[in-house]
Amino acid sequence: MAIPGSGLIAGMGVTLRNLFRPKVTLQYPEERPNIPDRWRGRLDLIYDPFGEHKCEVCFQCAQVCPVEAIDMSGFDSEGNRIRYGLPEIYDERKDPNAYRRAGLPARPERNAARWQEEVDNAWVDSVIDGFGGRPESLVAIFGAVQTKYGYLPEPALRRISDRMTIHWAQVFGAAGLGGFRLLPAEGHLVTVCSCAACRFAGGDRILAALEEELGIRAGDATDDASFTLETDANVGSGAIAPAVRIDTLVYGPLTVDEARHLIYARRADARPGRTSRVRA
Amino acid sequence: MDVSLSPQIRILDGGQQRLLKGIGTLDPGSLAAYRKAGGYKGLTRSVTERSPDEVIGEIAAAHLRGRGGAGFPVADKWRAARAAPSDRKIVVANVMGADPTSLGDRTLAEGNPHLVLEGALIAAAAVGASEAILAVRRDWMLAIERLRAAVTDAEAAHLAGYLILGTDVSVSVSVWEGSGAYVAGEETALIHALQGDRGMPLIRPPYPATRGLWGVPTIVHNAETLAHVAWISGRSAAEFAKAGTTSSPGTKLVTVAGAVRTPGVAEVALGTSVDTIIGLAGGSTGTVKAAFIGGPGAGALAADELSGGYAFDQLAEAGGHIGSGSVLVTDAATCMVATARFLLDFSAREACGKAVPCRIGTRRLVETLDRILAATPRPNDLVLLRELSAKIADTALCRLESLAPRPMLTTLDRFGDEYRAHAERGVCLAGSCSTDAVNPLLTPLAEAGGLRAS
Amino acid sequence: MDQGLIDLLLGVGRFVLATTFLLLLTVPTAFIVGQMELKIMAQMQLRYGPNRVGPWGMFQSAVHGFKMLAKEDQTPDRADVPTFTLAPYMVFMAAAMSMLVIPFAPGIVAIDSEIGVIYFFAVIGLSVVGMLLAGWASYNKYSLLGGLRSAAQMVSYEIPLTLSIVGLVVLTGSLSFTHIVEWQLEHGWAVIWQIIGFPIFFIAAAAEINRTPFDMVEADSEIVAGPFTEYSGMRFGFFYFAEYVALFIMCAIMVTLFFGGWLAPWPFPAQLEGFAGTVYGLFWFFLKTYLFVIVAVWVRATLPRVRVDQLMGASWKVLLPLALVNLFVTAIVVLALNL
Repeated sequence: MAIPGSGLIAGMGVTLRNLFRPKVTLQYPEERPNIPDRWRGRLDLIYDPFGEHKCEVCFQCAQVCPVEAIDMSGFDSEGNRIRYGLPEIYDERKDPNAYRRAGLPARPERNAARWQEEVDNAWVDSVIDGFGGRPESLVAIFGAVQTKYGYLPEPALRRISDRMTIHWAQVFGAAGLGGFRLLPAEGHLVTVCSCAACRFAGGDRILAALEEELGIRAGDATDDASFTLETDANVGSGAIAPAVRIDTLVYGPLTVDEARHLIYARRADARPGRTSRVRA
Repeated sequence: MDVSLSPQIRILDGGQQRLLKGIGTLDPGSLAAYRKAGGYKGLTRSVTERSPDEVIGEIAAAHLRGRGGAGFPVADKWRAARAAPSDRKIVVANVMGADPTSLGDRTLAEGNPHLVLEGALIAAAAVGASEAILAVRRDWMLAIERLRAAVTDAEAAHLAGYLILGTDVSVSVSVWEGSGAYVAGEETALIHALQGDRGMPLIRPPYPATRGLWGVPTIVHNAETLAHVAWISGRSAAEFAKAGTTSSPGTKLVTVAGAVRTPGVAEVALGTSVDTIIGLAGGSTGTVKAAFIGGPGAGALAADELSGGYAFDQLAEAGGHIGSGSVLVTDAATCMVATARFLLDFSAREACGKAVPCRIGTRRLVETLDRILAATPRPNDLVLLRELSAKIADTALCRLESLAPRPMLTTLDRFGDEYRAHAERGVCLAGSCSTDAVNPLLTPLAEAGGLRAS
Repeated sequence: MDQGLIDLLLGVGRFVLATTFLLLLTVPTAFIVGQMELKIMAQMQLRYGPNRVGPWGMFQSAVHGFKMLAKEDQTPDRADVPTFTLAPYMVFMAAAMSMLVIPFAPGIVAIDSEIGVIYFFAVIGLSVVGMLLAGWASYNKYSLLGGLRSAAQMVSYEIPLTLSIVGLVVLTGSLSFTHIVEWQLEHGWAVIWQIIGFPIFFIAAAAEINRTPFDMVEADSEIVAGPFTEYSGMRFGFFYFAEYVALFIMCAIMVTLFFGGWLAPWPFPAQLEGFAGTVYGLFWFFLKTYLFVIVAVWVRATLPRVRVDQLMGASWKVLLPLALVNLFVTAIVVLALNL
C-alpha cells in the first residue's frame, strides 16, 4: 500500500529537480533556432467546428508556390459540385479524425470512381501540338478535350500540364473558372439558364418544374442516370429567354409546359415535339 | 450571304442607330460590303494621313468613354500606353461577354466584325502596338467564326497584318477563345486568362496601360468601345457629339431584358430616358416597379426615377451605372429582396476566390438575405447588410467586387419596406415569394451543406 | 497634562507610526513575493522566467503593478458602487491589519497584545467578507457564485486553522505572539511539539489565502476569476496585492508560531542583545519567512487544483478531526509533563 502523500512528495521532487536543470527557453531575438535550409514545416489545414476544411480551395497558394509543392482540389460551397478542384485528391488528405471529433460521418467519396477514366494521351498530345503548345491556347485545348469527352478528365489535365510544362495548379485553376465541366454528366445533361434575363422571364418556374419532373435538385443526376440537371448563367439570354439546354441543343423561349415536354420527349427517346428548336 | 445572328439577339428598332446600322442587312462576311458602307475609312485616315497624336486627339475631342462599365476616358488610356517605354505593346478587344444578360458586344462581333477589327487596328496604330488580340468567349462560335474570317479578309487586303496599306504600321491580329466567366470581363483578369492563368484580377497600379499582358503595355477595350473608335475615326468627333449629352456624348448599346414585351438589343443616344429605352423593347409586360441597370452589379432605379437619363454621370447620381449596358425591368409582382439576393448570389458564385472580402463577404450577404427571406433574421441583420457591403466595396480588388453589393444596397434604399416586411413579418409585399420556395432558381448556399449558418 | 492623556497620545502616535510603516512594508513585500512566484515557477518549469526588465528581470512584478495602475478601471452599470469600490480595499486591509501583531524581532512589534492570536485570526477572517462583497456588488451572477464559493471555502478552513493553533496555545499557555516565541526559546521550536498541528496549519493556511492547490476562488482557467470577474485596473490589482501580502503574512505567522519567530536555528546563538539583536532577529525572521514563501511557490508549481468536493471533504472529514485529536493529545501531554 502506498503511503499517503508519497505521490505528493514525488511530485515535489520532480519540480525541485527541474529547478536546477538546464532551461529550454530560446532567447529568441538573440538566439536563433538552427533550422535546416530545406525545412518547410508541415502543412496542415484548419477545420471549422463542423469538421469541414476552412480552406476555400482558391488556389492562390498553389499558384504562387514556386516548386509546386501545393496541390489541392475540393468541393465548392454547394458541397457537391466541383468548382476548383478534384475531390478525391483533397479528401484523401483529410483527416478522418476531424470528422469523428465533430461527431459527423466522414464525407462519402462521391464521384471518386469517375475520375479514373482512361484518356487517349496521343490524341491529347496532338491537340496540344495543333495549338503550338502555347499557354494562351489553354482554353482552346480545354474546349477540344471537353468536346471529345463531355468534360475535362483529370488524366487529360495532368497530361496537358506535363506536355505543356505548365504548373498543374495553373492548369487546374484555369479549368476551374471557365464554365468547363470537371465531372461527366450522366445521361442527358439538362441545363436551365440562370442568367438574370431568363430568371425574370420565368426561368425560376421552369427550374422548379424540371426539378419536380425529374425528382432531383439542380446539380444532381437522377437515380437511373438518365438525366443530369444543372443551372448555368450562360445558356441563353435576350430574345430566347427563358432558355433550357439539353445536351448541345438550346431551346427557348419556353413555357413551363414546353419545358416539361422536352423531358417527356427525351424519356420516350423520341423527337422533340412542337417546341421551337434552336441550335446555339 | 448569311446575315443571320444568334437566336438570342434581337435588334430593336428605334433609338439612334450608328453601330447597329446595317446589322441584319449588311453581309458580315463581306469586306467589300463593309468598305462600300464607308468602312476602313477611319483606319486608312489614321495610318496614312494622321499622326498617332492626331488620332488620339480626335478620340479625346469626342470625349469617348469606355463602354465596358467604368467609363474611363479612352484617350487617357491611350496616352498612358503610348507614353510607356516599350518595344512591344498590345491591344486587346474584350468580347468576353462577362455579363450573360448583355448582348451588345456579341451583336457587334456577329453582325459587323469588321467594325470591331477596324477599331482594334486604329487603337493599335494610335498607341504603337504591334499586336491586337480579339478575345472572344468560347461559346460564341458564330462570333469567333466571323471575326476570324474578317481578320483573314483584312489581312488579304493589307488592312491588317504586315505593313498596313503600304505604311510602316504593322499589326498582327489574332482571335483568342476564352472561357466565359463573369470575372473575365475585368481587364486584369482577362489579361491573366490570356496568359493561360486562372482569370483572377490583379491589384492596380500598375495599370495594364503601362504593364499588362506579358508585362508589356496593354490596352483593353470592349468591342463596343472599339466600334465607336472606328466610327469616330471614319467621321469626326463633332459628328459623334451630335448624339448624347455634353459629359457623355455618343450612343450606347443597351440590352433590355426582363418584364418587357420584346427583349433585345437597342442603340440609344446617351441621355435618353430609361423609360424611352424600355419603350423600345415594347414596354413592360406589367407595371414597371424598378429597373436594374448595369448587370449583376446593377443599381436599382425605382419606377419614378426612370424618367432620368441613361448616361454615365446621371446614372451615377441616381445610384445605377452603365455597367455592361443591360437594363433589367422588373414588374410589380417581383420581390425586390429575392431579386437582390439573386444578383448577389450570381456575384458570389462567380467570385474568382482571390479577394477574401468578395469570396466570403458576398456569401455572408447572401446568407443574411436568406435569413431575411426566411423571416428568421438576427436582430441587426439590416444594419449588418450595410456594414458588410461598405467593407466589401472598400476593400475590393476589382470593380466587379466593389459593385457586387449594389443591387442589395439600392433596393434597400428604395424598397426598405419589403426587406422589413420579409424580416419582421415573413410577408412578401410583392406576393411572389412563397415560404417553401425562398430561392426559386438556385439552391441556398447555407442549405446545401457547404456553408452552414450557425 | 495628566499621564492618561500622554499615554493616549503616545498610543495613538505609536499606532499611526506602526500602521504607516507596515502599510509601506506591504508594497515591497508584494513585489518581492510576486517576483519570486514568477521566477521560481519559471525555473521549475524549465523556463528562464522574466529576464528583460532590469537585471535578471527583477523589476518585472513592479512593472506588472504599474501596468495595473495604468489600466482602465471599470465599474459595471448596475453594480453597487460603494460596495464594489470598497471590497478590494477591505480584502487588502484584512491582510495588512493582521500584520500589526506580528513580532518581527525582539521589540519590533506594532502592538504586543496579550490576545494577539485571537486578534490575528479575527482580522484575517475579514477578507472573506471582502470577497463576498466583491462578488455581490458586481451585479453578475457568476461573480456572486464565486463569492459564495470563496466564503464557503474560507469559512470552512478557518475552523481547522484556528483549532490547530489551540493545541499550541494550550502548550505555551499564552495568546501573545511574543510569549509564544519566548516559550520556544526555552523549549525548542514548537513544530517539534506540534507534529500534527503544523501540517494542519500549513494546509489550512494555504486554503485560507486561496493558494494553489486550493485556488478555486479564482480558478482562472475554469471560472474566469470568481468574485473578481468584473474587476479591472488597480482594484483588480488590489486583490492580487492582498493575495501576495496574505501569503507573506501566513508564512510569517507559521514561522512565528512553529519555527521560533526571530530565533536563529541551532548552530547559531538563538538571539543577541541590543540593536544587533534586532537586526539579527529581523534577518532570521525574514529568511525563514521567505523560505516558506518559496515552499508555497514550489507547491503551486507542482500540484494541480483540487475539486471543490475534495476541498470541503478534506476540511471537514480530515483536518477538523485531526485538529481535535491534536488538541486532545497536546492537552494530555501538557498534563502528563506538567508543563
